[in-house]
Amino acid sequence: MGIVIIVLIVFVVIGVFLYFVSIYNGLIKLRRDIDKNWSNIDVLLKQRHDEITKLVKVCEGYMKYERETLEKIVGLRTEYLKAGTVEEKEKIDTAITGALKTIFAVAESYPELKSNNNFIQLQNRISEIENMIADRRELYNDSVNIYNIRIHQIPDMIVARMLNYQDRPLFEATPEEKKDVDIKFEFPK
Amino acid sequence: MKTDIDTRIFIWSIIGFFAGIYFFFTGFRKLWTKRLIQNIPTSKIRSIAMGLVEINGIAIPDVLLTGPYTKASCVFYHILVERLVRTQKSTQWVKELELKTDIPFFVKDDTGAVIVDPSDVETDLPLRYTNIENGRRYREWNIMEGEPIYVLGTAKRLEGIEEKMQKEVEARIKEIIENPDEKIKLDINKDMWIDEEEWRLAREKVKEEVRKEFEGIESNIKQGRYNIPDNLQNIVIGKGELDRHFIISNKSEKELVESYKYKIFFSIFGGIVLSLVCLKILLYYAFKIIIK
Repeated sequence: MGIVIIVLIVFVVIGVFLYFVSIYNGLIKLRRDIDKNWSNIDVLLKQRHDEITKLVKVCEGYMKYERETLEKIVGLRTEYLKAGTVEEKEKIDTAITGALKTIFAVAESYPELKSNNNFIQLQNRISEIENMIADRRELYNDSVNIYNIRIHQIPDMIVARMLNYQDRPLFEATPEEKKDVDIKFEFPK
Repeated sequence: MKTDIDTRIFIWSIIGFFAGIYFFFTGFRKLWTKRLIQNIPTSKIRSIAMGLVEINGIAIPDVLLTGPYTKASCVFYHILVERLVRTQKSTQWVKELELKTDIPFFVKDDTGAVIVDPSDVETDLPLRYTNIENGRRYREWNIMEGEPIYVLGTAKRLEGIEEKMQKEVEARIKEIIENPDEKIKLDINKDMWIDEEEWRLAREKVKEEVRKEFEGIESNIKQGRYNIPDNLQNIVIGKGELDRHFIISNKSEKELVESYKYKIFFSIFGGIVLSLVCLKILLYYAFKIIIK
């Protein structure tokens, strides 16, 4: 009987050890995944910047009176390349998205630009990248959410506290993005 | 006679003890897989990144298959044929044939489609056919056309069509060089010497042949028959070199996690119980031998 109990204790000890190893490895992987998911957004943001350079070049010839808007977007692009932290990049990215929206809205007043093939291609490409960025932000938030829940759940909480793991911030929409859209209808009188 | 039974019980106890340990560790491996499934968020197909990904979508065939036993249209099937073997001591099913298809298919969600290569996949699919005939058991599991599926696998880059064409051209030219009958045909001016111009023409001819053969494949992709986004044209989801997890199931993520919970429970606790019971029997026989 003694040997059977000893073997049972060995099973329990190995089992508890393996269980905590799986929790530890799981948390490490989650943190790495969050970083990877952010890097994947960064890759797309860089791709968008390349497209923006081309877009500005195409627009310059037509939008002579929108120099300020074009200069703003070029400036933001340079700022993004200098930005170091995720928060800074997130802020500039939102500003670029806003500036792009302005460019596309203003382009409506330039029929020649609107019908330019290069402009149409770039507009499509940028909106394609924007959609992918939105998907990857969602994925990033999902992995952050899973991580934040895990580190507050028992038994993961025990390992997370031992490693001093803290909540990670979510990628949130800015107050400007949350604002109601101001739509004014101008009906013909 | 009694000694014979004792020996058999003793041998089976040793096997059972080690099988219990195996189940115990397998349970923890399953636990790791379950946590992985829970920890990976689901990607939308148009924005999948390289590496381990989880997607949900419907299965669309590239080549429509027919299940050998169900006769149903499917994108993937797994068949198992076993023969009933009776001996004096036992009766058991012995595997005669097992086949899993490795023909790639597409998985499509509302954002796009991606190729899935099912080679070496671990599946969790419902048994769609079972029949016992002439001492043989025939079983089939499959993924039906248009069925919603869950995929956890590694997204990796395939060779582009240009690279494939280039390789094919090189391979065919090598074949010509190695075959004297083919090589002689390149000598257009019959001077028994293949000059630079003749080589150039031969290469152009091979290129043209290969281009025509690849045209069909390329146009299918370019026409967007499967709504594959540009960034996913050369991407395939399959078994990774670093991360070996590759699972396809027709269950939802939640159902899959639930099924893993039961498997883990029975594997770990069943393994412990099996080992301990077998150990107890072993000790009993060891004690008997010592007393003798």
